[in-house]
Amino acid sequence: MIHVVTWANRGLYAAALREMHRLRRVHFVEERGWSAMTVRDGGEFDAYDDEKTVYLLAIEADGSVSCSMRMRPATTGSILQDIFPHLIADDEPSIASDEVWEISRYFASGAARGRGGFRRRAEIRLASLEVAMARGVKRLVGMIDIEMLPPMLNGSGWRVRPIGLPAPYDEGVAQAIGIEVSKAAVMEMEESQGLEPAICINLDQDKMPPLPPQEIEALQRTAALGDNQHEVLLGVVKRLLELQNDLPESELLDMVAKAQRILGGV
Amino acid sequence: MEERYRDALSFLREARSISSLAELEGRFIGLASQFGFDRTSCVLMCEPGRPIQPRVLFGVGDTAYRQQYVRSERFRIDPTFQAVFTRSRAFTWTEIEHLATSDAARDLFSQARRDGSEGLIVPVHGALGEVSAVVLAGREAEVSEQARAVLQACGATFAVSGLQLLELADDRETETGLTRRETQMLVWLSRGKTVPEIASILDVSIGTAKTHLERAKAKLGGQATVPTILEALRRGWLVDPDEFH
Repeated sequence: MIHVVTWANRGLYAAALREMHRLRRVHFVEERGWSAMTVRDGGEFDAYDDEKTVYLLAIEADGSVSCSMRMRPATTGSILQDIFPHLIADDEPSIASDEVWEISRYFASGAARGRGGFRRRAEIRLASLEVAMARGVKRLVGMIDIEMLPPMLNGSGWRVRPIGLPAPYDEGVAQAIGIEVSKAAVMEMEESQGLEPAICINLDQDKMPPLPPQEIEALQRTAALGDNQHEVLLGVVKRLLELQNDLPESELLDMVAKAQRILGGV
Repeated sequence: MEERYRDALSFLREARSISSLAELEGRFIGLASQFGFDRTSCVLMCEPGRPIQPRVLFGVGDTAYRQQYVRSERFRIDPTFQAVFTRSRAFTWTEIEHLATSDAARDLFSQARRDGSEGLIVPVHGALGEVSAVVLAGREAEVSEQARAVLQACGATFAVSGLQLLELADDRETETGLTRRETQMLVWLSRGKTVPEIASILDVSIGTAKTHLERAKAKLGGQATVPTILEALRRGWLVDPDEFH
């Protein structure tokens, strides 16, 4: 499953977001040598990390982030439009449209790299389509390094189309791509990558117990199975006591009630 | 925009909808010739989990030489071949020639450049670890940064599209309305395999597997996957994959 992190629920993801920014620094600044980047508090940030941004995070059972992507409406500024407009052909429709979102900072680390990470990376790509569909977006755009073009064209599951000619930049050669967002494209993505529908987890932070997001994900999985709920709930109570052992009883009971609602599929 | 760059943009947009390998080859060499390259070949270097054994897949004006190169195993001493695995951006013979330290390797470059040609090699690293290269050669080769970027994108698109056409061509009609591959797709899907798993079983790319499935769906009423499988079953068109030898 892929966690959808927005401005509204970022409170649940403080640790995971910190880890994501750190991995962005490792991947883009250290490994790929992108020089014009802002590094602060050990992480990489730019002007497109703001309240409109949606982050897709693959969070493993130990809390590590293995794969991530950033999405943002293109109407309020985009890397392609603001920094690399020459990558978009003159006859392409404008990307400054309510129906277009930009994707960026797509990376994998650790187990999500290589052949073994194929499925995790595919989950992130499917999540991008699901998030876009849910927001009425018709097209995603983005900039990739030229060496990523072959796997994007064959094997990514996305309906990808180059939207201009590639051009060199300081650390490589960039290619702008457009990705179709439609029900048919989502179904094709699920089928071609062997994925189940509804890959996204959208957590409402007001309704969640104060557990790490990967534990809430596990709780939701258990709820979907529908058995051993009392044992699971007991485990959750113990875990909450570990994390919040100085809380008044009333607040603790409120958290248990939240966990119970998740187990009940609410 | 110069005409050749306009042509390159058209090639990038249209290559994947070209349905004949000969037409794809013609379009690509026509484009490459505007950058001074008069011959090209696409070589599959290796596939995951298999010994390295290059195969010349397709091309124009260069395939006979390249096949001889593979048959005589000259790739084993050629630094160009090794560089395809380690580099991600297109590179020229000139940039790699200094790595030819043995007499045999230097001789390779002398032969290739005997008429004053320059070569541009586009490494193509696929989604599942397969590695190919598109080799371009010509006497008037232009290898400026912009030309190289455009030829890398077009070369990669040429390789991906050509490989898919080749895989699709390697398919036979059966007595039913479906081809052998289309039938195999439906049989494996009915047994719970996913498209990436079937692509691996059938030794084709995921894109090609997907195309086989889409064609099967179109032939069986244009429905979703499950109704398509049921319809094929109803018609008695699905046979055990062990029957396919």
